[in-house]
Amino acid sequence: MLEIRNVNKSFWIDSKEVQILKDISLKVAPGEFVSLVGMSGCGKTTLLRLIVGLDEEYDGGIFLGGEKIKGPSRKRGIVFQEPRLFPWLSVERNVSLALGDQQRKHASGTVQKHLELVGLKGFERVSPKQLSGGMAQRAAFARALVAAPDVLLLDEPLGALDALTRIHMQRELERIWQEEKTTMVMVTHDIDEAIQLSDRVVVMSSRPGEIKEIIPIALPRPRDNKSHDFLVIKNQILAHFQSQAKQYFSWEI
Amino acid sequence: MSITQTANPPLAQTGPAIKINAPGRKLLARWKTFAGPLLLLLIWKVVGDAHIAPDSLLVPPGKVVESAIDLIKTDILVDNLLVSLSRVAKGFLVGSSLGFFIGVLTGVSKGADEFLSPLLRTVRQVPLLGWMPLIILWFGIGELSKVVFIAIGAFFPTMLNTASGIRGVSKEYLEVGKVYQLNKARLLFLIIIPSALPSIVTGVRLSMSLSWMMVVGAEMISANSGIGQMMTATRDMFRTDIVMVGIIVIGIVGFFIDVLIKKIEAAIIRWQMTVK
Ligand SMILES: Nc1ncnc2c1ncn2[C@@H]1O[C@H](COP(=O)(O)OP(=O)(O)OP(=O)(O)O)[C@@H](O)[C@H]1O
Ligand SMILES: [Mg+2]
Repeated sequence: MLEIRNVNKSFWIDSKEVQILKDISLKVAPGEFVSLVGMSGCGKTTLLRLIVGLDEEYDGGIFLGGEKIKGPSRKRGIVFQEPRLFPWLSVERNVSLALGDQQRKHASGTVQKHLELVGLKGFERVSPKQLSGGMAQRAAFARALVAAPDVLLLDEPLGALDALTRIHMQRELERIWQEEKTTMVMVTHDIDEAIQLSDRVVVMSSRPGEIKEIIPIALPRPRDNKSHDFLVIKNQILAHFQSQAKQYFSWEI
Repeated sequence: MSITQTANPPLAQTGPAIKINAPGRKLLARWKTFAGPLLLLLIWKVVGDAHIAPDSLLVPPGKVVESAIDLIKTDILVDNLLVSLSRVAKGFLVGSSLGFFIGVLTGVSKGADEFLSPLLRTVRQVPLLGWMPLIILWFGIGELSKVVFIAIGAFFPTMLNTASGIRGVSKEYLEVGKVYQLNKARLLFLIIIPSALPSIVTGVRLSMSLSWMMVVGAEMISANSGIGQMMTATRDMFRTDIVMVGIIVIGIVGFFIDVLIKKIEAAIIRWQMTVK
């Protein structure tokens, strides 16, 4: 169980304290897929960075399996918006990098297994420079999964891909999630993508970033984004952003 | 299908045609490269043969070629060159390895940077020739003093470029290292140094060319062998021809050292970009 309890986070911007996250509380069950959607700048990346342990200056607590999170751990993997592969290491070495000393000694087949999982079998010795955007992001998935984390955080993992590759990768991601049974928390700007993949969608407001609504998606998988139920949920999510846009508009006048 | 079939034959024909022409065209394209030196040589020949100045001041090229052949036949040139090159190799190796080490240290550790960098910046203000008296005092006028002198020169470019390369490693890459909890050594060898490699190699190249300039200077001040010494000794005997041979050899060797280092640089970058 991943538990976020009353998290508040502010940044100092131009010597002013700006609250970015306000009273974020969320429980994510093991094996659950949760998406975060919200306006740009509302603090989604910030929240993921707190969960993964790259930023420890915040109020409140984040717990994994009842233990408070302190700094990064191999129990929590992350895929950034960019693949962040090292061009001087082969795909295989980029992936094995994520393994601890013990893991590297004992599990020689795991890297291979995870490259197969993401559909990169045969590309072990290739340089990341020779991969397409979609393939590079697959390698990043393999790297994030190879140490068998309890939780995988995804920060707009498919955001940089073209529409067709993106749809394909969404199906792949769903398959990977079903095979690995990893808890996943994904940030996305694409509401279809969120509904397509998630058990629950968390809608955030901006400035400060608060949870506005948590919407359970009880549709059977694989989901059809043209079905009536899908569109109903989509409109429910979109409504949040339309009202927000109106508010901004009336403010400015 | 039909598109690829019609498109293929012409492509196949241009392939070999380019290959045949390539060397000739390459040389032709490079004519400017040779034009400069040739023009200079021509002017020198005309002015030298006119005997405007005494030969001891402006020696004609013919005479320089003669003494060059002489110096090569008697092994004097090659022996002195080898002595100089071995000094360069030693001083460069010591100086740039130390520079690499200190550069990594100050690049990685803020404490080391605060402790060493102001000191080293101050020391660097001393012109390289300004070290000579102290070096002679400490290390005498033997081999060691020359190697130390070159090492000091070779130290700074490698050190500074290594440190700045390491400080320039992207935050995004370092975060990946942090997220996957790489230990210090793996972080250094898998992420930091490869990422800083282009900058490091630039520093090493600068160190190398500087080393070659330094050896000639060192030998002019004190030595009983080496290319610089060969020039100083003969200068005192008004053998301008030998001095000229020295200058030309220094230039050519320096040029080829630079070419060599650039080749190595390119190879390293290529290696860095391909897979291990
Ligand atoms: N290191 C930082 N220092 C100061 N302010 C920051 C820092 N990181 C983020 N912020 C601010 O916090 C806010 C939230 O940023 P964050 O990156 O979490 O947004 P986001 O929801 O991920 O947006 P996007 O959808 O555009 O990626 C932004 O207004 C940003 O300016
Ligand atoms: Mg973001």
